[in-house]
Amino acid sequence: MSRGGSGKAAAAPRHLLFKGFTGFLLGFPLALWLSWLLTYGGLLPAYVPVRDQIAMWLAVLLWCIAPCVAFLAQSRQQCLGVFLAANAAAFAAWKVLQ
Amino acid sequence: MKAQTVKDYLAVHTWVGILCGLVLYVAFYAGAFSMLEAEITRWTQPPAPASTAVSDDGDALAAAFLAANPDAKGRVRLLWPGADNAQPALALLERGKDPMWWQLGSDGQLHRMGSMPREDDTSGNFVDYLHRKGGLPIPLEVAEPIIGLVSLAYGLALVSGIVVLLPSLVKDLFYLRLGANLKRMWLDVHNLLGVASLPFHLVIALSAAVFGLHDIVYLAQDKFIYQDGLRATVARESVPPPKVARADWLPPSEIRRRVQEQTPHFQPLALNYVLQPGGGATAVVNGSDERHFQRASRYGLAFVNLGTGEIYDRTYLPGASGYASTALLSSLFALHFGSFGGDTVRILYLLLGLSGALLFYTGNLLWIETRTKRARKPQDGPALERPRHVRIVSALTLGVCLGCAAALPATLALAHWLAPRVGDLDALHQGVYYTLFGACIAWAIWRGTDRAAPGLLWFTAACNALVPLAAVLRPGPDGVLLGAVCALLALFFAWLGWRQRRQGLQGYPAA
Repeated sequence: MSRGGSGKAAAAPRHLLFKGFTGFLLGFPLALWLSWLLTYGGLLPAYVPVRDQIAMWLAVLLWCIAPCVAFLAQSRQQCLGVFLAANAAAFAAWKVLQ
Repeated sequence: MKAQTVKDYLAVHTWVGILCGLVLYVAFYAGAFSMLEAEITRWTQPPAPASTAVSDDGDALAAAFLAANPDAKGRVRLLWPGADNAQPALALLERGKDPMWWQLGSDGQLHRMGSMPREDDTSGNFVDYLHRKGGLPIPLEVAEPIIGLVSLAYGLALVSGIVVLLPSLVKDLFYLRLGANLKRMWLDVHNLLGVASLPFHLVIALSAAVFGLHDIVYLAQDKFIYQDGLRATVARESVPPPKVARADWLPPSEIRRRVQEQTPHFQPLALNYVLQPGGGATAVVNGSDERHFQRASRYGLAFVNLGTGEIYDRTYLPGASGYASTALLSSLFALHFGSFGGDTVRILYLLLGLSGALLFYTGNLLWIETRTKRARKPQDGPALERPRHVRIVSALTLGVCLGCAAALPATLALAHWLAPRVGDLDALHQGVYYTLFGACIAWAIWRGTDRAAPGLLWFTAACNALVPLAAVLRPGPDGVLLGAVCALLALFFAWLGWRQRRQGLQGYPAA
């Protein structure tokens, strides 16, 4: 998308579209798992009214954050790897805490 | 942060902004007007005056309806007299069906109401839908997820914009360089608007994404996250409604009285019977207390025991739940709808909505200016060269922004005069709005930005002037604020048109 700047480093492709879509697509399941962990994983008191709605709002917030941080990755491999690892870790925590 | 990372975020900010900016512009512009939704509806469709042929007894109306419809399903809403209806009215709201409104005649018979406008056939509703659809001429069910995704992108644009601005935030924030360097000027205005209203934009981006995508998220949570399913998960932390036999139900006026005893500042507006299969029902009182954040767009909710009038669930009662989670939720809703603090906050939200629209407009101008090559020598005059794709974006920006600003007040002014004579007001709104909106875009593309701008600005000023003109010709309390806003907008666009004409005479291009 962007090839601004000059010199060798600037000429390297930045893969912004790839990173954005990776953050958007892999951010969705990650947001679902993380929102469950934060709201139902034992951090909050036993009784919290509208907990399900807070979990839904949190999921959307986390989903929005995912593509925002994806552009910090230095390469496509790093971006994909970090999101896959985060998904795997969140899924494992979700499974364990059921 | 590395310079290359900042450059990446600048590219992301630019492209997300240019792809979503115009939809967000319409959503914000219509959103600003939606702060006057109730006044707009009453201005174009004034409520019927009280009639001696209609009973003022809401209790008798509810009793007569429930007796005549013992097997009714869905929600029965009893509206107590208020700003929108001089006498009690009752609606049966069933999923997927148009609501049917009833009143009790002085003869003791139920009568279908002709004077109560359908909820989806009001001018206020048209403005609200325009806001929620971002001006896209497609059904709401299709538009809402799209707007949800656009809102996610809007959040990304906000974050990337802040990342880009951070290195020079303190130096540049209040440095407004108005002058011949248009790119620098629009950048300063864009940055100042964006940073000054950042908290508002963050809340709007998140809440709009939630409103557009909550069905998808709930579905995914139901299928993949909650092992017992969403319904069972919700039920675990809900207050179970008391079971009261229909014969023991209190009359609505008594429920209202007892609710007010428990919450003196909560002004009941309507009583909802949510009818369950098997004859049971829960009662929900809609009411307003603008001293606190409210859960719904204009009101809060009290869940009431039909037999005793006791509020058994205060989750959505404004300022009364006592839990951080419900307070947080209500605040997120109220901060989107501006449903707290009365008219002061509504006017503030109206201004924030218009400034939000200006933020997206200046973002597009910045993109256009960056890609416009100017003559380097002063003696060559203000000549410029724009590539084809920049000319198209420039014309679209002008056409969409001025088209929306012109078509919206024009359709409201027309509805003010024609509403009593047309059967389908929504069709009138859709027809007039999209015809004018499309014509402005077509004119901007056909003539090009520079030649189309002065005419479109004067046209927009004239369309806005129609509203105060109509309000003066047929005065009423509901047209005052709308008329004042449109009068100011008419003056603003006329000033821009006059300025544009002067610059045009000097050979300067349209900005």
